[in-house]
Amino acid sequence: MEHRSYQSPENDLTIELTESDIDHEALTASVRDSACGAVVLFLGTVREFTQGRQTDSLAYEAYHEMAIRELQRLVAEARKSWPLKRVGIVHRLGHLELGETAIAIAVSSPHRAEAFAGTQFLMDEIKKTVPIWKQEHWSDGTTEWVHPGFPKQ
Amino acid sequence: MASTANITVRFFAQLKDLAGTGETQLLCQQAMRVAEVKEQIAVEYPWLRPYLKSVFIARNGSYCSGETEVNAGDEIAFIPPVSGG
Repeated sequence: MEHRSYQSPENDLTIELTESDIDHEALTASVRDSACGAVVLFLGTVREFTQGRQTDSLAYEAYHEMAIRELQRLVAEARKSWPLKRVGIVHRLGHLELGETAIAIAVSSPHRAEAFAGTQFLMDEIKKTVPIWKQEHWSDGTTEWVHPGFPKQ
Repeated sequence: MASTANITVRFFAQLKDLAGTGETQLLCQQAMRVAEVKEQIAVEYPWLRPYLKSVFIARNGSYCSGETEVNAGDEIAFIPPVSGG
């Protein structure tokens, strides 16, 4: 059984892996809190050009169960450094067209510096450890999994 | 149906394409460690060997080291360098 979403019992963290469009407005609304003076929303979107190569579309794959656990661990880690009141993270899987949202992170905190720093930390760490992979579908018709550090084929 | 004396090995992304499967079973040996699972996979799928140096291993959904002991029924995932976000 694949677990594709998580909601903390305290209702201060939601995580979702989805093959549907990401509703970042709903996500942002879900982290708003009257104790907070700051809400930061980060969107990662599908870019057309990477080092001169043209992307036609992308596909994302995840090790679902572990990705959710790893995201929970990263949020707990972030909360050791910054007072993040509510956090919402949604990652898209499957096929994505140019410009579509691949990831949305929404964070609320009493003050903006913590909200910015916590969001940046989460995004940077997600790119290092969360078991999700991107496959480029280049405009020349070839496909390529993105695995930094792997031998080139 | 997986035997309970087995461990399940999972592959993802390019590793899955190269292995030709997302999942395989190994017979769990006594006092087996993650490094031995990796070596057994390298013997069974020799063409994966150049990639395995850059692969992290997770046992039952958490990153682990080569020294970690594996038990029958465990899920050992081969995690190629990630690229989410």
